[in-house]
Amino acid sequence: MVAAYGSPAAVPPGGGPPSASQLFALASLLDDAVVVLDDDGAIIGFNERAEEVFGYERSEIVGQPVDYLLADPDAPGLAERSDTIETLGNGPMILGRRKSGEEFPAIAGVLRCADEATARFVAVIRDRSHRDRLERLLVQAQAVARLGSWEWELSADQVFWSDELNRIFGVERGPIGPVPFETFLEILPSQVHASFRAHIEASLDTLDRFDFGEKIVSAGGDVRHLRNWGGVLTNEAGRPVRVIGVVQDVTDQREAEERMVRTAEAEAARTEAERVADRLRDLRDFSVALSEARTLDDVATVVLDRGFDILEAERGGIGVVSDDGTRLEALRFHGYPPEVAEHFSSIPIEADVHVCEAIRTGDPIWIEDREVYEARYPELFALIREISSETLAAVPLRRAPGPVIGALMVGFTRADSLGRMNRMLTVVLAQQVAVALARARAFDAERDAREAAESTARAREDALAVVAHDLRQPLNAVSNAANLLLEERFDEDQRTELLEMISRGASSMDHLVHDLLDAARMEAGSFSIAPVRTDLSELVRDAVDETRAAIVDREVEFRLEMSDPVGGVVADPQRLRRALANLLSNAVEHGAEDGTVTVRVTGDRDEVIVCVRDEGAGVPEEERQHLFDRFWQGDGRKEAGVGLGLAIVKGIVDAHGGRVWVEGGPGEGTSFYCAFRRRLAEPDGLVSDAPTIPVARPDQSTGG
Amino acid sequence: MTRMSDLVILIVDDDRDSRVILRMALGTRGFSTLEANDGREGVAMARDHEPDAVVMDLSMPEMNGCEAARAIRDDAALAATPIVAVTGTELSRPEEERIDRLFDALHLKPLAMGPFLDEMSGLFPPTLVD
Repeated sequence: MVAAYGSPAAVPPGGGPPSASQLFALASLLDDAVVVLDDDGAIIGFNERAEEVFGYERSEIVGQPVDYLLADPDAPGLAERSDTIETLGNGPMILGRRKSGEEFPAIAGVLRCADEATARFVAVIRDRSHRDRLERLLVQAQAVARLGSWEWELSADQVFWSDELNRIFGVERGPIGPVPFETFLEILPSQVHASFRAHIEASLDTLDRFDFGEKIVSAGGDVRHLRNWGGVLTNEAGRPVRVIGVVQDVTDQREAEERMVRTAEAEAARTEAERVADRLRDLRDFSVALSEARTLDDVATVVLDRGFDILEAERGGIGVVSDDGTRLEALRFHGYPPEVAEHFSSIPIEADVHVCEAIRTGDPIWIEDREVYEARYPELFALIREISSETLAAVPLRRAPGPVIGALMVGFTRADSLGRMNRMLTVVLAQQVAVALARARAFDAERDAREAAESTARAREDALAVVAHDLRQPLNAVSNAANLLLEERFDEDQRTELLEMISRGASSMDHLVHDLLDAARMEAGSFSIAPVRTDLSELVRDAVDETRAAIVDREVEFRLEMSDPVGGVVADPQRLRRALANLLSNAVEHGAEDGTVTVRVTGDRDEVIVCVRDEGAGVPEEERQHLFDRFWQGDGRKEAGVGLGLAIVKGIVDAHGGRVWVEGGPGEGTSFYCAFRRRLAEPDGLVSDAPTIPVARPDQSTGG
Repeated sequence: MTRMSDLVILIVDDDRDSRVILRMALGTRGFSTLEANDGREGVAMARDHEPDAVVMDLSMPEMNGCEAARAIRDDAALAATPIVAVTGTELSRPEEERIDRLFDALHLKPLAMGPFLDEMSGLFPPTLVD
């Protein structure tokens, strides 16, 4: 009889519930293993498919307990599995065991048969490993992809999942069969429960697909990033029937991405670092170049040639605050059209311009928007509208502690030029420029002072040489005459001649010393006069007498032409007499050998003019302008002279608010004119009878 | 026998005081003197009077001392005439060398009268000295 269950060929006919043999024959039509068991659980039927699945020959397995076919004999036996055959598709899972010992998942459907005493159960066993084999590639693919999948059958509340899911979630070993969703959640790491439930429930509400990330941390501290996505399948009525989900371990991918990102970031950072390093190196070179810049011009050159390159600026300029602090004077520009450079060449500090504002406030000004620029400095903007600078900076140049000494203006074409790096560089650069500028200013000032000092020293040396020469002549005369008088015996006439020589020499030296002192006072600005109401005609007569007395060995005639009355002027009589005497002795020196010196004094209501004319060779046009310079001597001088005389005349006349000029070219003789106002001009231009310099003038104390 | 007072010294100086001093000083040693106001006049007077010696100021208008000395040396009749330079101006080395070639002696102003007069007397044979 047993053999009767070995072949599906014979299907017993008849009505009523199928007999075990009928069931056996029927089930064997399926591609499933069919095993018939007796009441004791011994195997009495075993079809060909069962032989294939379990690996046993029918002859060797029949009569053996069904336990041979089960991996876990303690698990609920097939006898207890009284489910209907319909559940086979989703039926309870069992773990079968082949003859080889291999365990395999299987689904078993068991029917109780009541009609035959010996055959109580017919079990239909579907080898799930067969399906697994088909899925193996998928499993392998899932493993490679670190991809797990799960399905939640809503009606039965059963969740299936792939093995890979266990590995992904780090679950030691999942249950063989489907579990309720809540159990499934518990199997998952606790870290993901809440979000898993929330996302899936939300998806069930909305029927939208879900896609969310999870991060799980293993006990060992490993961090794994999971991506969950899937959706809800609905029936024709639109009701959810199944949730399908895929879980992927994206840690490696993420790490790879992060590595890529990190690599890219590192690369970018390295590039940026190199760029920064380049710029800092340029800045260092710039500093070195600046430190070697001595003059303002040198500084401007370094800033223009190197500084703006470091800032990656399109254009810029550098200016310094004028000495009086009222204007910004441009040193140099780069990249601006001529009209803009012209506009900026000298502007008041109060001007509504960013550089001036930077100077006034002492703070850098950053303008990153042309509209802002236009709003803040409309006039300036109109001027530079055509310039493509997107961003602008104006940085005050200050060497702390101290005032702002200038400003840098910088224009960038790139809109992102005013980044932190560039601002920092601009400020650092400006500090260095300020230091260099301050030093250069000091250098320039020192150089100017040095040159002035050298020039003054040269002039003093020249003057000393001239003075030494001019003093030597009367000194020689005095010295030699005195020695002769002491050492030799002379007659009365000779003694008189020598004594007169000594007297003239002393007088000449005295005159020279006075001139030198006056010249020194004029140079120092401390030359002052003591004006009183003075009779000019009397002074002229005195000066003529004095000059005539100093003349020896010459026959010079003096002619006085004075309108009568000349009237008085307010003047310093001592100084005025010296001025007149200097003019007269100049006329004697440069006049004809035995010529005439004419002095004419004319006056009107406002001023008195003194003219001294000689009959000498005259003065060429090009020399006239130098006549009143100190220490100047015309080329054709025939008398030694310190050249102070006319300069002192001018200084004295100037001190009186008068004018002095000269007329007459070569061959015409020379006429010197001095014009004195009858009243002294006040410094502010008002005219007053009162002298500008308080002097003792008892005769006028009640006047006015 | 020629006496010192028969010796004529030509004084060429544009400064009157200097001429007076030189005239009086030379007079104390018995020299007779002639005076010229500048180099040009000095050369002319030298040709006219053929003095026994010339005292020549260096810086003068018209013709300075060197030019005048050169003119005198270039005149065959006067070539051997002693010329003594006097100057109040400091001289450079090249100027001094030039003056050494042109003049018999150089004295700086203010003149140290003793040495100057001794130099002048030394130009002539001792027998002429008083």
